[in-house]
Amino acid sequence: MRKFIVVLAAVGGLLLQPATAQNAQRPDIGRIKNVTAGGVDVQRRGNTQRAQSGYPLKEGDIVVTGPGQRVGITFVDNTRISIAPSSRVIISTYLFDRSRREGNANIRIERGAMGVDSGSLARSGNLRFETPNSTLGVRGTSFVIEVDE
Amino acid sequence: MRALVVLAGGLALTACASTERVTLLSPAQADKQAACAQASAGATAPDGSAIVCPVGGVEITHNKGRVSYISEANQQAHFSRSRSARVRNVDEGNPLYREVMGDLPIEPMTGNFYFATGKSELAPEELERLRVWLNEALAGRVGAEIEIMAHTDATGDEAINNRVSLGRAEMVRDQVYSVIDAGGIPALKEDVQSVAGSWHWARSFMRPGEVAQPDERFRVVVVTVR
Repeated sequence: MRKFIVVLAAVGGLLLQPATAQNAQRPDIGRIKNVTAGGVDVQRRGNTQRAQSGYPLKEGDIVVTGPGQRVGITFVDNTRISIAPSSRVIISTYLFDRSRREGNANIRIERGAMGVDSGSLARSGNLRFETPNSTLGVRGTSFVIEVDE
Repeated sequence: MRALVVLAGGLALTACASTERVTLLSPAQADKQAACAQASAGATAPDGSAIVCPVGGVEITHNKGRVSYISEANQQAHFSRSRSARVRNVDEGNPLYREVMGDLPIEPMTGNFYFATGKSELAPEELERLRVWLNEALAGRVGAEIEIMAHTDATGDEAINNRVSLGRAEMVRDQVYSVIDAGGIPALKEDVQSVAGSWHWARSFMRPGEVAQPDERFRVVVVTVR
């Protein structure tokens, strides 16, 4: 029985290792900056973590704010967003080559409101936002998206 | 009866469909705000051309394929699944917009710092200038990160320029580490990143067919605090 548990733990460790290693290898795409006390939830690969100021974000992360929660994020291309209470935002794609200053990004807001001040990616027209009913292409600008449920 | 069911279903779907609004606002960046203030005052550029407020624009592609475009501050596109976008003008003073845009993180700051002649590190006086600048840039900023990107001019081979610029960035990063250790900058080492900028910035200024020349202006490290 003991041998079985040891083998099971080893197999479990092997299965978990690639996901952890992949997370470490994936580049940071931005950071949580200003955030309401207590932090906000960030969902990553099925796990939810409570994120505070300085939390590094990865491509694919989902940021969820509850009632009364707010968060500001700065991405590596200097795009800034702020997410209002009761919102759900999915950072579907965020690829940015820092030395060439190019890439593409796609951020989806499923509900709530989000303020945006676009950075380097918008200069090439490769910064896009999605809502349940539309796709937004952005050219160097500041705007607010609202999605009422 | 069937018609009633269909009607009820349609109404239910409409009720479930989200309503969305996209509102273009005045620029949130300080340099663009300055340009907008000059534009509204009727100022002109040194060449005599009118200064334009750089509002930019948003192109909205509705799920049904229709496209709308907003390109003026306070323009709002309003739409839902069942209705394509209607564009109208709104009041920028709306408390929601003020609140949401007020929650944007502090704007990133960028500064250029130059290597000593024939060296891959900053001279003591330039490092002191960087220390003072970093203290100013980090003030009041939460969750800060410091990006140190070293560049090269456009001559030579890309692989060599990658290697040279990474070496320079790491050298300056180590200098910044020393200042952190000495308590000269309120930052953590893990928040400092070195990046090889290589020759891409220098090449972005070249015309097609132009032969690259040595250019001291690109022996620079660009530091961004965000």
